[in-house]
Amino acid sequence: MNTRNLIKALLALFLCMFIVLSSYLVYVVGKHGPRWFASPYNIRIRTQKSNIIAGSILDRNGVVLAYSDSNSLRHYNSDISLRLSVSHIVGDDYGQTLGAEALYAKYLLGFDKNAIEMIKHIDQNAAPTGNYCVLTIDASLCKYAYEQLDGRNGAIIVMNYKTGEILVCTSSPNFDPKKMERYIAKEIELEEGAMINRATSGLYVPGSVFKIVTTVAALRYIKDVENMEFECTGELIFDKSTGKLLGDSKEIDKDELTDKYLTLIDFQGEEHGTVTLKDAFVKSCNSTFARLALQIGSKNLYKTAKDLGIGKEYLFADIIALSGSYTEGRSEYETAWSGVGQYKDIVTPISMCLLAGAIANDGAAMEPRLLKSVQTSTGAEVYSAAYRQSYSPLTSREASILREYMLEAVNSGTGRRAALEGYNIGGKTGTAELTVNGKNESHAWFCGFIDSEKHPYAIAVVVEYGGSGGSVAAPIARRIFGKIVD
Amino acid sequence: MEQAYTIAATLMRYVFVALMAYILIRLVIISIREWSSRRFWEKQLEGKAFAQLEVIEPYSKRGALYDVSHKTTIGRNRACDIQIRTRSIAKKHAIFFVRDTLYITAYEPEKHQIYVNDSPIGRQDARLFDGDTIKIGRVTLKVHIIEDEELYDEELFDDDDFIEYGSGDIDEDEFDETDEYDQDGE
Amino acid sequence: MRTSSTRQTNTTKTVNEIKMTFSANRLLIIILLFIMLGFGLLSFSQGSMDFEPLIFGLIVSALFVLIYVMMKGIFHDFDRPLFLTTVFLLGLGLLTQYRMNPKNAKSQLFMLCIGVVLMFLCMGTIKFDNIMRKLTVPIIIGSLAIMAALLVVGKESGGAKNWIIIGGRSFQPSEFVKIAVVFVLAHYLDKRTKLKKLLVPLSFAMAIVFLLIVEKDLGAAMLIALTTLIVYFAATGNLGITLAGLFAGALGGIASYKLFSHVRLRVEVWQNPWATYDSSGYQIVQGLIAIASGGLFGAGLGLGSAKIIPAYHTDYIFAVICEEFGIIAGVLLIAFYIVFIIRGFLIALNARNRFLMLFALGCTTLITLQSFIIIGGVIKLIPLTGITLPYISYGGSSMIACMIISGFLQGIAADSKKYRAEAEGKA
Repeated sequence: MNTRNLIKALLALFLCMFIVLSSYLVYVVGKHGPRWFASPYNIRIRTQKSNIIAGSILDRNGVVLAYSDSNSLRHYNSDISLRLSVSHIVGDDYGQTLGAEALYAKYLLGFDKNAIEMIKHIDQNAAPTGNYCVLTIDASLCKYAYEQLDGRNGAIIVMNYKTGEILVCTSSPNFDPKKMERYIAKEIELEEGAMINRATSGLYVPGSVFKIVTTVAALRYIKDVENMEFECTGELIFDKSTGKLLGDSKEIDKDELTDKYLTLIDFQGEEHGTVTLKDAFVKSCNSTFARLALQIGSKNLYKTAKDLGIGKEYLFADIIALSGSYTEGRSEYETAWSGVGQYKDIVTPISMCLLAGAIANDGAAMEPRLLKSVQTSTGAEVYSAAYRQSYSPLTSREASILREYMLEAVNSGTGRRAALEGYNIGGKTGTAELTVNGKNESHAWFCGFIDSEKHPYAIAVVVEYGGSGGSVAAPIARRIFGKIVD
Repeated sequence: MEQAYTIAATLMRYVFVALMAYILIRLVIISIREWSSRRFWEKQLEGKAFAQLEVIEPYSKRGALYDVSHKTTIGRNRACDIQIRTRSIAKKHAIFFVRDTLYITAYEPEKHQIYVNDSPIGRQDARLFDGDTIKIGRVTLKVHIIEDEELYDEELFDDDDFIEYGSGDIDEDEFDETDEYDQDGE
Repeated sequence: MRTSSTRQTNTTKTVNEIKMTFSANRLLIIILLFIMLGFGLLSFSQGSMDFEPLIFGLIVSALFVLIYVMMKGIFHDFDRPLFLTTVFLLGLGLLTQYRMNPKNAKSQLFMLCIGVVLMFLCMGTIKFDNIMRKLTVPIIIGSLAIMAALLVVGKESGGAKNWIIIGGRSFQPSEFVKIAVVFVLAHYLDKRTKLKKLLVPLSFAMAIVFLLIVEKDLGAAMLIALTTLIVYFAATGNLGITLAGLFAGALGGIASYKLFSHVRLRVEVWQNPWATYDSSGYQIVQGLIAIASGGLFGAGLGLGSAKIIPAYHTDYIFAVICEEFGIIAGVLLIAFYIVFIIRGFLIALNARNRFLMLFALGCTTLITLQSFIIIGGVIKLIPLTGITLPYISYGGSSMIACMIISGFLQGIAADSKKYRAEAEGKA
């Protein structure tokens, strides 16, 4: 050890430090830069609007969703129902929401400068215009989906599971971008939470759709679970103070125990008898899944949920989305309920749609795409979406097993009302229970897919306070799939 | 025309970045080459002048320098690296060798003694320090070790002078040629 | 018995392979081209042709050429790559300052001229390092006096009480004191003496750091503390005490976090600036947005909107450069500082004696850490501290201190080259 060598070592150390510095710079701007740029605090967007005529936003079929006239005033689609159905996706002109207007301002306002384009503009002596953004959604389908919600709150999202393109994304309550100025001035009332896109950021209790996660966990952590048999008596009994499982209603005589028990029951107290894993999935048997959850353990459930995208931080390039969370229960009672999608389980419609899509797509979840392409006003293509895999939540084998179960659930199980003649539809229903103001309510859930080469779509539907998933959400899914294949 | 400026500034972006990159790359290449040539020189110097012996006695040879950076034998015999023809030295008297630093050892310790700083070393390998005197027969040699700083805590040295490596053995021309750039920038 | 001459021919052959034709002149011209293109572009940013930027650019270029010629003339041989790197940094800095606010740039240029004079002075003193070192004790006393005086007569600015006003201009003595600390350390660590004797420089350094903390100049305190540790470690190789020092520093950091609310605030703002956007987070958020708005090649010189960031001409100048010149330019700028570090270390390794080696090491470390800390703070890698980006940030004291450091480094380089040449002459 002498000073010279130490100096050389220090040099190496400093070199590493600076390499870390520049890598961090590149990384952080690459990952978060677009989000920072689209932030409402970015005054550049506002000032640029006075320099340039913002480009138009179109849907995949060329329907104009937003455009600017020669005075730089922003206009939206004239069909009010359509306008409302895509309001969250398109965004607004005042930086209040994170729709396409904000997220793709870079293109719409011509921030990605092309000197040649600018020179051409001077030739034409016209005011500079931004680029056209073509989105992946089908606006008429969004309108149709919105109409299915029929005034109720909720969200519907449909994605192409082979490419990741978002076909339908609608959320209610919504806002009218035409009236945004008046909303801000508080001239018109806006329903609370109307500016949140529930499809991508709505945090909901999943109910039985979470059983998909529990099933995958069972396949991973319980050996040979597909061939096992379970007894369902419709009710499981837990000790009130410790939360430990005491047994099912056959084993324990409830009247013997005093007020010291908690129960976990099936939907409307149904008894399913002896079932396999597949049966339990198809019939959505709470008792079985509760037992499975206890056998799997909350830690493994947490891991599986994260692998499947719940609790993950989504950093998609095209949209901002949340994924939900899974909280480990502290007692057996809580873990049991978490296995059937209650307790503190939270998901978003997009996370369930991605999951259904991954199941249909052999285990690979594609990155959600909203921006299909960007063209300049002279027709030159500036950007064209590339389809890439986002993550791989399931193995091919797990995906095929889940596919089989979900197809059966629609064929003969709780998802019967989602079946569409001539097509193989797979899915899972969910009735998420919650207590509001002392009353028992439930959200209606359905998430599933069409198993078809021509129409590879996955869907997630949630109707707030809609009631039963099988009777409310599943038919909506069927109607939407029906519209798609027509 | 504001439009014209916008276009000009947009085009110039690439020019600025390109110039920056060019300047940087040139500077980096020079630094890397200077660094590697420096290591090359250090290796050269390691071989050349790590340690030297200066003759003190006999008086006739006083001031003569011998390089002992590698394994060196000393004795009366012609085959020895350093040949000193006096009776008091054995045919093959001693070897200098380098392990982590310079050492001396006797060929035949019973017959011919070596004294380092006036004490006999016997049959051991004696470590040599800068400034040590070695007496072989009637020949007295002084050890010069040329190397970098020792570890701070070791209080072995107290030289004030920072001994420049390469004193004496480097060709001037060679040094000029490692200086990458022309003095007059041509 | 001299070493055989066969070795010489071998080395000559290999050296020729290494040799490369490099023209310092050519590279200087390209740097000046960069600067002139920048100012030329700025000259018609206001619609009509404005000659002022061009004239300013010409003055700057002429100044650089003059410095180059004078250095060659007086010192013959100095570290050319370091010189070119410094010229580029200064040029880019002046260009960006002019673009944001021409008045700042003119003031900066004036400070630069003063700095250049001091630089030549410092270069010259290296030859007389023995005499310089005799001044160590006065320097210690003087530095402590100035820093202590700040407590009393210091003017507060930006939350830190580290400015004095002399004759209408404000100075930041901490910039000069940091060089003094390095000088003192190098002097004492030169000789191989017992730890006891080192008590003087180490307690001096600690006292300065302590005073700076009291005056709330946390950035400078951290800078000097780290540099002291690094120089000490390099000089002694004593990993134990160095780690103990780091540990003590970390403890001090945690203690100050718990004790001082302004430290807590800094850390919170670093973690989530958007939460406090309306007050303390504003600067960081706007800085990040500016960096993100540049894209790869930047928005274009003069086309960015960085003026809304507070301190855009001092701490946040890096964000301005990223917005107008692009991310690629940002990364390249970091690389220029890497070149500076490499050159500085090479100068240290080639120094004529141990004192100069440690002094060069200390000066280079100052610049290294300073640029790392401020760039790291701007890109939210570490919490933001109020120190300047060397050679580029606006600030008279900062500019002069950086030129002094340049002077010392170039002086040591020129001196060691001369010494080597003479040594070969003797052989």
